[in-house]
This record gives sequence, C-alpha cells and structure tokens, in this order.
Amino acid sequence: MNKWTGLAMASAAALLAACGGGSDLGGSTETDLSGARGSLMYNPPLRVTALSAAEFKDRLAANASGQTLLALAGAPKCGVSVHHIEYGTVGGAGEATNASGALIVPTGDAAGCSGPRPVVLYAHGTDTNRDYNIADITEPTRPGASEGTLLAALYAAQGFIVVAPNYAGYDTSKLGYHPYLNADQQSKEMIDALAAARKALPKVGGQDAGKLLITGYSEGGHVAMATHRAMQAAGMPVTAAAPMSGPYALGAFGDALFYGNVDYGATVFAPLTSTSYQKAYGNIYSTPSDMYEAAYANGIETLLPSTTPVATLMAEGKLPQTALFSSTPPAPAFAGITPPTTPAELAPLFALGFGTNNLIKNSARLAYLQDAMANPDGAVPTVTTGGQAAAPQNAMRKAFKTNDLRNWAPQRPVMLCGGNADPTVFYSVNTALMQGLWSAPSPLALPAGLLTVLDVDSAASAGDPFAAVKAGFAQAKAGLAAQGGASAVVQGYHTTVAPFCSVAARAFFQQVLASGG
Amino acid sequence: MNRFITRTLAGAALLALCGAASAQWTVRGGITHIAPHSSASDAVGPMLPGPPSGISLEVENKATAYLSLAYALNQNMELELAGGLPPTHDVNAKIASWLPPHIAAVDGQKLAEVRQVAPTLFFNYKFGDANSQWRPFVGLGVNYTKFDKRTSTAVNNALNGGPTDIRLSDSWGLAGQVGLSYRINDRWSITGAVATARVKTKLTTSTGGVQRNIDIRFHPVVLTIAAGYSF
Repeated sequence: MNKWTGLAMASAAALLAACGGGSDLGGSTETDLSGARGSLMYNPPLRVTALSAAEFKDRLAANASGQTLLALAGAPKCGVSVHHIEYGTVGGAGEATNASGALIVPTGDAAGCSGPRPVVLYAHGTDTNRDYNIADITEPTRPGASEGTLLAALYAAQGFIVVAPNYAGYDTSKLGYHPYLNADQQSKEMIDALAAARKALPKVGGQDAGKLLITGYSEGGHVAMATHRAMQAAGMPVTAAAPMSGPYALGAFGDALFYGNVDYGATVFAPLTSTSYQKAYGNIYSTPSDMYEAAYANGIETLLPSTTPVATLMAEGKLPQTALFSSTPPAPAFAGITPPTTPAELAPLFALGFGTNNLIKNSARLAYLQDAMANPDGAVPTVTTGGQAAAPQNAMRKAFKTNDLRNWAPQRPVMLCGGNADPTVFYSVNTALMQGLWSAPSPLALPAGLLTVLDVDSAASAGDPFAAVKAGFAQAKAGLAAQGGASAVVQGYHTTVAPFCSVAARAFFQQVLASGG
Repeated sequence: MNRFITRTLAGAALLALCGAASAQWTVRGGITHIAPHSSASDAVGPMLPGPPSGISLEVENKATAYLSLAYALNQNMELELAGGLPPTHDVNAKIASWLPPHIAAVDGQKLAEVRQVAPTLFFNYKFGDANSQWRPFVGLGVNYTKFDKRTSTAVNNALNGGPTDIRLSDSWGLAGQVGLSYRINDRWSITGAVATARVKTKLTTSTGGVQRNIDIRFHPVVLTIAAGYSF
C-alpha cells in the first residue's frame, strides 16, 4: 500500500482523536479506604442537603410533626448543612469494619452560626431497619429521618455541630450484625465517628470550638454513658453528657426481665442482645436453639436489623409480638413470676411478656434465674448494695455485667433524663440506680452540682427550670391516653419522653457552656 | 457484540470478494449536526428525594466535523466507516418543579460536558450506477459509542453534594442512514445524509462514595453534508 495507507491511518487517527479522555471532577475528593479506626473514607463527605434557616423553617412548618418540632426546638437561627460520613471502626469482636453517620454543620451569618462551635456527639435509639441512616433527611419516611431532623432542628439550627453514627451493622456498614449494647464497641465507634468528622470539618466549613457534649436516647443513652466513661478513662476532654432513658444498669435490668418484669419491646431487644454478645464473647450458647424456641432459633442471628419491617417479620412468625417467656413456669417455684402480678399497675404489661408462642426457652430462663439467685445483683430482686452482682456464672449474666455501667464516676457535669413510668427501659433499675450510685452515701458519690436528674413525668416544683418540659410531656401523655387509652400510653411512652428529654439536655448543655464549662 | 452484527460484518467481508469498481476508496469530509434526542430516567440512588427523585437531564445538540472512509465493493455497494471529530455535548438539568425551590432553580443549568466517540460502520446500497449524477443510498450498520471525557460542573457538584465523578457505559447498536450523492466528476462528489442509531447508556455519578444512576436512551438524528474524494 502507499499514500492511501497514510490517508486511511490519518482517518483512523481522527476517529480515535479521543484518546486522553477522562473525568474532571471539578474539585477533588480525598479517599482513605484503609479501614483504620477513625479514618474518613471520603473527604469532603457527601452533602445530603443544605438549607438556610428560612428554608429549614418552611420545611418544618409544612407538616404536623415538623410544627411540633418547631415549637419544641424553636425557630432555626442557623442554616444546616447535612453530610453523610463513612469511617473505619471495629466490630464487636475487634474485627476491622466500616460504618456511616451524619455530620451536621450550622451555616449562615447569624451570631453563633459560624466560627468555632461546640460539638454534640449523639447516639441514636434501637432501630430494626438495616437501612437506618440518620443523615438522610430528604424524605420524612426514610428510616433515621425523624431523629436526623430532630438533631438538625434542636442542635445544628441553634449553632451546634452534630456528629451522629448510624452504628456498625446499619446503612453502608459491611458488618453483618449490630454490636448492640456492647459498651466497648459502641464507645469505640462513637470515638471513631468523632475523629472522622473532625477530619471533614475544614472541608465542609466547620470549626470545632473544643467543647464536646455527649448525649443519646434509649440504646443511645447506654452508648452515650459508655462513651463518656471511655473518653474519661483515655484522658479525652468531655465538656458534659446527657444520657437519656438508657439501660445503664444492664445487670439489674436483665435480672428484672428474667424475674418476669418483661419490658415492652423485649422480643425485639432479645435477639439483638444475644447476637451481639455471642459475637463478642462466643459463649452465650453453643447453638441458638439452646436459648430460643425451635420456631424462632433458625436464622435468629441474622434476623435483626433487617430491611423487612419488624411487623412483617412478626406476621411471618419469625418473632413473637410480645411473648418473651413461656406461660408454663420453668419450675413450680417460679409460678408466682410467670408472670408476676405485682405491682398491680404493671401486671397487664408483664402479662404481655408471657405466652405459648414464647421466644426464649424455659431451660435458658431457668439457668439464668438459678444463677441470679445464687449470685444476686445488688438491686434486683431487692436493693442491697445497689451495685453489680459479685460473681455471676451464667454466660448471659456475665455479658450483662461486662456491659453494666455501675462502675465509674464522671468528672464532668452529667444530666440523666427519663420518665419514671417508662415500660420499655425501666427507670427504677436504670436511672434511679445510677442516681443512687452517684449520690451520698455511695463511695462513688459525685461532688455537689455535677449530677442533675430529670424525671419528665413528675410534678414541677417552685422555680423548676424544667417546668415547661414536664408540662409538655404531661400534655403529650394525656394525648396518648385520649387517643387509645392505657395500651396507647404503654406503646408510646418511651418515644414520647425522647423529644422532651432532648430539649432539657440542650438547655443543660447551654447552661454548662455559659458557665464556662 | 451480538450475533446479528457479527453476521452483518461477515457478509460485508464476503461481498468484498466479488467484483471491484475502478475507483474503490472515497474519503468524505464535512459537517455533521447531532441531535441526540435523549430520554433520561429520573436519578436513582441513596439520599435522593422521592422516588421518583424528580432529577433528570437532557443531552444537548452539537455540530462537529465529519470524516468517513468508504470502500466500494462494486458500483452499488460500499462499506463506510463514519466518524469525525468527537463532539462534546452539554448536559443540562431537568428538575421537577415540585422539588424545593433551591433545587428546582437548577432546572436548565449545565450539569456536565460529555465527549462521545461514536464510529459507525455502514453497509450502503447506492442506487443508479457509476455514471449517474444523482445517487440516492440507504445504509445499515453498527454504531459503537464511547463517552470518553466527562466534566462535572460546579452546579452539578452542588446538586450532588460534592465533587462528582461521572461515568457512562458504552453502547453498541444498529444504525441506519438514507442520503443522496451528487457526482461532480470522476473524483469529487457531494453527499447529504440523515442517520440514526440505537444508542443507550447508563450514567453513574459518584460523590463522596455514593453512586447514583440515570438510564439514558437516545434517538439521535444526525444530519451530514460532506464533500467526497474518490481514488
């Protein structure tokens, strides 16, 4: 061939003139996929949404729950920029894994919205939806959207930076289970989420003022307290903490449960707890059918969290609605607590926890009870020391003791908040026990003024700084009763306490910050 | 490549073996106008409104230089490899009006520039004979489209929530054209044609580790006018 070859090749070259193409991002994203604890996988992290104060206010005012939140939290002073962070952390057996969460930064020109801001580190409550994502507030129906919107309205829109993990096992986490009520793992994850968020701050227009406020609700109350304990032990600065409605005294709470004081939600908490502790300690059972009835044992380790709604799982027979224990006593001696009939006002609640379609085998309940009687907790069934059992032998009781928080004293201000009639996380064996542990004549008694305890379901005293919160809760509780009577109150009490305790926590934090904390 | 396309090319190769015209090669150069007529789905992926998200796009028209090389199998049949200077198209936002005002305001703004390389191999049948002055033709062929250079705009980065990488999957599809050649002399000719092809792609954005997708179908109308030199 000749010059035509050259022409043909020139033609081909023109057709292939595209070589050297690629993607121009118009900016750059740093990635760190090492999986190291506290590493931020993508920097800047994805911004889910950014709203000015006026836009956020309009959004809240557009529906009933938003209006309630607006009334509770106040009109947004700052805009909010909500980010989805992904970070390296560890699982319940120390295995390297990843997890995600929210970083919410206040924006705008109003005073207290820019420059160095205090950080709120928030731990969310039990959720059964594996897709839970507290950063996804784009639609109110998304799992995590209501708690995310609460944090944005209550804290970010009032000038706080918010860091809130989704927890390992949820959203984009590759961990195949959730290390539920594992104080060690959950406090490590909170510390890792905070470290990752701090790496993101320069790229998302945030500045850390060096003030750290730790809080959380329900499961998150336990996580918040465990995190404060861990950070204090490691010499990391904490300004104040406000754990809310948490199962702090797990040994006492667990014993109360097995003694028949079954709480509302127990059939959901049980598989989350046993799987978490089995992964961490390996000795809760040899096989799930040691603990769970045959109808439920198969697959129970991967049942929750799930993308299937828990109501559907229950309708499919994978979990009983409320029956934790068999209505046949595990031994004749225990007939009186199968179910317990005292106190009388709680008898209907406890009765729900028993049935013929029960979740936990009598053999497991019996072994637990025998150990509880041989190695009793200091608070259940009667208050002796108020402290943990000295030497439990039963594997589940040992796991509860490992994660029981009745063994430390905070050195910074703490507010414990809850409702005394909470049927889901009992107040008397959790909040009241911690209060006793941290008050004279306990050896762990705190100096005056360090501990504030708020029961939102109590009468306001003269000059009570929390009078409005108590009045608000009373009104909300009355609303539940008017809608559906006593059972509506049982079902809604625990979630109804949450926003009121949260508002009180914010006021507590603002007071600590104002007094130079 | 599917089997139909393989057989088409094999058939064309066989035809090349029978008979040869005296002037076998033709180079054509000119201008082509590409109207993509894109039809894009709403974006799907994590942390988007909806579903439907109400966030979609449109690929805009572009003109560019045209170049093709044709080999005459006989006086009625030719194989033509058509291409040209790879055009860069604007990709504009199509945002539903029901989205919040600060998102709806992005409607019509440029989200990206995307360059496509889209060689098409045609088997053309030309009516008339070597001496006819006007020769209509029809062509059937195969298009391959690759989107090689993609640039995300600041508007797109703001919409997605961070620096955004854009990828589009390659496309293989049938193509067709109809046209008319005017013979000036033994060497020179003018050709006008209108072509189309079945082109589809999956556009994937990646922002802060989060991926979103939009499926795009094209019904492109490509108008070309070119001068041809045969040798």
